[in-house]
Amino acid sequence: MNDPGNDDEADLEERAAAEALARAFDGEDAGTAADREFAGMIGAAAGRSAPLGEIRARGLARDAVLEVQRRARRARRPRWPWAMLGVAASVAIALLAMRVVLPEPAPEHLRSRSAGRLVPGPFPKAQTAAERLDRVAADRLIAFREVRSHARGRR
Amino acid sequence: MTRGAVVAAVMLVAVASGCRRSGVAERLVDEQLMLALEEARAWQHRADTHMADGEPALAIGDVQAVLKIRFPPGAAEGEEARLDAWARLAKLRLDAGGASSAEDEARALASVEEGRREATRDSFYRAHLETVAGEIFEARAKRLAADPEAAKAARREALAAYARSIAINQRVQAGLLKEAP
Repeated sequence: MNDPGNDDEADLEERAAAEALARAFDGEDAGTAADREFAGMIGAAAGRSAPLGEIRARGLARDAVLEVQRRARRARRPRWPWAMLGVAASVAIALLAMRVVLPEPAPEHLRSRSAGRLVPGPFPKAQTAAERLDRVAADRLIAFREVRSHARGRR
Repeated sequence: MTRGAVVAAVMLVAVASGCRRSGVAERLVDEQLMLALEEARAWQHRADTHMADGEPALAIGDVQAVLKIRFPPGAAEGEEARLDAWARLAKLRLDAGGASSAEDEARALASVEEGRREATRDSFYRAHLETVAGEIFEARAKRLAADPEAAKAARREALAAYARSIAINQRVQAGLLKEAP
């Protein structure tokens, strides 16, 4: 490809281009834009990054510090509200399940309860404790019979 | 975000508990309660019979037997039967030897105090216990008639006990009126 008669001339051109490239590679404002771009590519390929400008370096440092701060903030953020939400959800599910599982409450007259309505106070002087118990026992016996007949009906 | 989670948690539980069925004690009248009530009733009638025969010591024994009955836990009828038994025991101890002595009064007041300690809520039976306390202090005032200052102090105690009884009765009655359908 090369003309063997023009070897010296070609060498001179190549040397000049190589010198411009070398200067561009060393960071001097020499050669064409293409030389400087090429020098940058060679430097990057060789693991030599171009020296950073002070402003750019500060920017990178600031970004790094901000990132660290952001991560620290995220780590400090309390997690208990979410734990609380989880517990609340479990309680709510349990309560709703109870509603499904538990039977309807029995009518009041079948339940054990205070005898306040049956034996209203203040108690008359002539009324004895035995008489009060007579009333309560008679009333609860009726309830007991009803409870048992309901239970038999269910079987 | 945090506040949102807390609000959501509170609302979740509130809504779910609103759906819950009423938490009324669900104890049905059962055989255990009936047996206990019947036994208490029999002992109180025995006490009446012994009193009719002029045997207050035996009547006291009968009422003490009521206090040994095992009522179903949490049964309101059981608590009320026991309070009535303590009140009756107090009166029997007061009247045991005819005119009351300081010892009778002390024993009677001890029974009232036992009943007060057992009571878990207001009831006509709890109010009756205070009425009996008033009667004991009235008896003391009569016994101490020779000492006007001591008698007056006893009467003040009686008045305070009756006032407690009235207040409890009023609260129970107001509660019953509120619950009335």
